[in-house]
Amino acid sequence: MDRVFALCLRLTASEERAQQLTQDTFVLAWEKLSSFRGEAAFATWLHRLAVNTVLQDERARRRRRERIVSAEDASLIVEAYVVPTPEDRIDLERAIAQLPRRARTVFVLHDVEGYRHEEIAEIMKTSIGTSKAQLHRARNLLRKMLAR
Amino acid sequence: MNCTDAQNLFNRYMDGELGSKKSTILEEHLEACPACRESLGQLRTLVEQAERMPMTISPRRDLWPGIRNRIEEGMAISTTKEVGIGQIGWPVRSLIAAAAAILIITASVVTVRLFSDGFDSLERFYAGWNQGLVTLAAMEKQYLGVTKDLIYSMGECEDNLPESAREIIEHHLEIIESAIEDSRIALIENPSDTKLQSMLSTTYRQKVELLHWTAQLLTQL
Repeated sequence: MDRVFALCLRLTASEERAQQLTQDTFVLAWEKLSSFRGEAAFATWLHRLAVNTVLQDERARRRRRERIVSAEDASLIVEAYVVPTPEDRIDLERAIAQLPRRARTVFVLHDVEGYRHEEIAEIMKTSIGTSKAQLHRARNLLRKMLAR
Repeated sequence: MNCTDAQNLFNRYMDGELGSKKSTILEEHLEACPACRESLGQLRTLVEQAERMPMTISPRRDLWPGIRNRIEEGMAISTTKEVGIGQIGWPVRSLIAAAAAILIITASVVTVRLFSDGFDSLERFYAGWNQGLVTLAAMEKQYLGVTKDLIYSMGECEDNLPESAREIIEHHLEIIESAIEDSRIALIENPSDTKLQSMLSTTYRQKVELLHWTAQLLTQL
């Protein structure tokens, strides 16, 4: 549960959405349990399900033209969740929350969660080159934010 | 190479995607440029920090009741649509409890990989399941064989389980076994109900997964 919630919180930078999407993921996991193939670890299957749930929700929200979250909201939310921790990690969590959505998604999946660009491109329905470009953009933005 | 050119190459250099010729040119620039060395150092620190970020964060409210309610509602809806909720004695609550139990256990132990040892009967069990080729009767037979194998493999090691872990596992085994029993009773009344058959085979699988997880845990103690 906490693993899925951490992923949802970092991808959405929204406490309310992360709670909702964590619940969505587990309900979906129950519904799709029979499609779970034994060759992968259950945790890996569940993790991928959570990523897809978040991305599908974002696509649906964009179609409905909903405001997703502001950087200010995100900063406050992440701050609330990461105390008490070393200062540099709070800064990094806060900075990640302020990244543009696609750059944030790629950074979280690649540098935090350890996905490969091939996997990210498949999940995000984009190219490997775009995934790399978003990662570089995210890192450069984060470096500048943290160097302030 | 100027500083802008160099900084444009940092990410590829760090990820090992830069050719040897460009790497050498960049390294020459870095030797001569303290500002770029500092920038690259900051980038490296950032990536190292990201890799060390905690993988778990606890929600500030308990999300399980909401999950359980939604599963229950979903099952009530599908039951009503397919056979009418009042027609058969669905073992809904115990199945939900079993589902929640297996989700809680498997999701909370993310570092333990399932399905990696060499039980032949276990492999057959999953192969049959995944291909959708086995009948419920065949699955029951395999299920009995697999659970016997797993319990045997746990054997003497079981004493090594911490008391708290043993209690949790036994508690969830009881829930799953209760769900199996309820499903069987419901099937006696409605033997041709495919939804019930599917639920029973899912619950068999949950029990196998829990036993398998426990066996894996024991090998790591």
